[in-house]
Amino acid sequence: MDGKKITVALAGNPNSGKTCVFNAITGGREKVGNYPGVTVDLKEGFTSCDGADLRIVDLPGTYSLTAHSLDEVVARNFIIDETPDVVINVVDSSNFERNLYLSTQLLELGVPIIIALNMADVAKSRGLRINIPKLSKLLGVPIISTVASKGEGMDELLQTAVATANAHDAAIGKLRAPNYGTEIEQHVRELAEMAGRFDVLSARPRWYATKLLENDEKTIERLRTIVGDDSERLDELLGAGQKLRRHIKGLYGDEAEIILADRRYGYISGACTETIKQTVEARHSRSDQIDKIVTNRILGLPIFAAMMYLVFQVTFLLGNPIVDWLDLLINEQLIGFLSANWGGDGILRDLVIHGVIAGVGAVLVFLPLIVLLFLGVAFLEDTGYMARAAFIMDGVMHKFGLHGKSFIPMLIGFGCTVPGVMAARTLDNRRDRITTILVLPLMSCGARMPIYMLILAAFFPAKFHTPMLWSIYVIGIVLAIFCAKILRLTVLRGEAAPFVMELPPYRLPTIMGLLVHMGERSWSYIRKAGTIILAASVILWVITSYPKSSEIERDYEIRAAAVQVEYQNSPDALEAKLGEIKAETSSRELQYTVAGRVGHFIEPVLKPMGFDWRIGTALIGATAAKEIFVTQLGIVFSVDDPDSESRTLQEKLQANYSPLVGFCIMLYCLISMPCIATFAVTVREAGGWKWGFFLFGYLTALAWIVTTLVYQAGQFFV
Amino acid sequence: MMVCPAGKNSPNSSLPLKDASQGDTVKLMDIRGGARLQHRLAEMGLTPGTEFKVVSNSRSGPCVVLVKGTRMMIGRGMIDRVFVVRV
Repeated sequence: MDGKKITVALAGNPNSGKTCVFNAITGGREKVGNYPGVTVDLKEGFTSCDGADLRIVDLPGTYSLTAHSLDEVVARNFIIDETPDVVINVVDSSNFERNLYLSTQLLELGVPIIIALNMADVAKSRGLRINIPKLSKLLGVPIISTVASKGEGMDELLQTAVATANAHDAAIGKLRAPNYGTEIEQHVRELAEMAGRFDVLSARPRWYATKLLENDEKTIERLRTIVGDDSERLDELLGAGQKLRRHIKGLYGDEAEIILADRRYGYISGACTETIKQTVEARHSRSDQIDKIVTNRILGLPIFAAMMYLVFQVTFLLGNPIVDWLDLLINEQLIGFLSANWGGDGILRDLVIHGVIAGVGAVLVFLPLIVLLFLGVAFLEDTGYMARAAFIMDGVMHKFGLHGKSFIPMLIGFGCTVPGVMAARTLDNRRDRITTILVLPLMSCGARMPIYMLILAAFFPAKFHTPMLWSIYVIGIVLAIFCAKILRLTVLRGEAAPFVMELPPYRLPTIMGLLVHMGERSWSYIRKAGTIILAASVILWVITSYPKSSEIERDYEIRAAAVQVEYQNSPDALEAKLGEIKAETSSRELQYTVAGRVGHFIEPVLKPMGFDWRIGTALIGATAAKEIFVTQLGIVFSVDDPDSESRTLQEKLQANYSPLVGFCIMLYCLISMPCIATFAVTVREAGGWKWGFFLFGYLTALAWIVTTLVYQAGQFFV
Repeated sequence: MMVCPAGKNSPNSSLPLKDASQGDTVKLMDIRGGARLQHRLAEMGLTPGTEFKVVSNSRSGPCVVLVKGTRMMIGRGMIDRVFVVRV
């Protein structure tokens, strides 16, 4: 079995320490894999044990395998489609009954399972004694006691995983799926037997039987695709499922899915009474004490506001010096060094210096701020405060048609919209999720910071910078609330999902956990810089440089020659005159390029907002990534020296526009069309191109209306 | 004067969860909501007939219940729709 490849999937509840197990096994080295057919990125890591190469896939943390939230669909589809060799089910032993609910569903999936009874130390300190051999026999699966935060039990877990995978069929044979009681069990078996007659369903007939009884829409859809050619027999199977559902409802008065859930808990409770001894009553006293204060109706919101303030304050306090340093390093030293030492003026040189480094550099400079914000968010999540904060915010969010949990994606959105959209997956209600995704771009992301910084520095005195920056953020939040409400009353009508959430006990986060959490989200930002922004920088550089006009060049040479003759006796005046001609020529050249032409073409639409064609070309760039606005404006204005520092760009802006236009630029960039990465992730996560285009359309329209109103009204006062 | 049939004086009739007090052990009778909501709660362990403890329930904070060893916060919008009896 040398080099045998084994795929291990990690399944478990949120808060079960699943991530901790993943980190302990893989040493935190992970990569985000993208699976065909699965619309979502899954984390995977690699390790080896007993001569086998293990690929560990971390499934999203879920409470069950129903198709209520996207996370659950992803988890179960992975097991069904990719058929891992073994599934490690991480169970929080201090929260045993709830966690085993997922296990009962995994048992029905017909894959080899191992239970990692995690946080064994916490359970012990709470006086829980679990009879592991007996429980293992009852469920028909190997059980290993682990303390993942300290790395205990990991070797044994992996060895068992390899052994179980090697004895694949025997392991499946031993599984003891829950028994639903005489009456229902009989129906489950009938249905399973019918399902088993289809070749494609024969690997897990019992799973399909229970899903049909639960009237699981996703499963029914799936069955229609995989057994599509035999629709008559399929209709018979679906019909039998519906008939049995009605029968069960008639017998018990509740829908079959409720009865099945109840029976699963009954099965668990039976297993628990036989295997668990509680010597001391479980206590949450310290968590309860903290909760009395932080979830208090009067104190809760101020404490939450203070926490948020602290997160942002720390982010900027620690981040800004690093940003300044990086800025110096990339935009001055690196570009300066290359400009000086890379001789000639080849196309490649220009492309690398003015396209690639200037474009990607503008983004990477702000990375420290984003990383620090994500670190703060990870800290709040890992301690357990985020669950409380979601509750505190629920009251406010509910009024605007959002869910308490919506605020977590929004908070992440201040760093980068893309991981924010992905964080919305935890919302179970589709409408809540889409509303959250659609208003997320209004949370001013880190990429817009360079735009604000440039405009503020160019047009406003230093003492106004901080209050104006805050006001931009607040305008975004207010607009998001307003849009959420409108969306809820129109395209996404329907009741907001009720708030039920597990209240995890407070925990001290592990450093590894924090770093991994932070790393995942930062990575999606870096990836954006490395791919989309890189490509966009190159394209933008091309469209602002080409086509070139030989006529303009010739014109310049003729005029320059004429001036040289005219001013040959006064070198100072000559230089000034030459500079003037050069600037004029560059401006003409720019207007001749693709970007210049498009900018001119859209100018009439931009006029009411106070923008001209030059801002127009920069806005085209901002569609690729917001921060490219600055890069592009730099290119547009860098008429005589593209390497000039932004101070000169600021001066040029000052000379060309009023502070009102400056403010309108900030406003427009805050609201307007999302970047390409946001568009792509919205299409993927909201499930359809139409949402991407809707997002694009409504934000652009809103930006135009708001900015026009502000500009037109502003002219009366300025 | 009319006496409310679900008033606090009749221990065996059901009352909305919002009227249960801290420390009560109650039994879930009914959830007045859609099938989806009922299913979701059932999966979290709140099936009809389940007994659970009200850990805290005051106007000044969330309603926290202890169901099968797990603490759960229940939103204010929902505590009117969950009906229980005191045990």
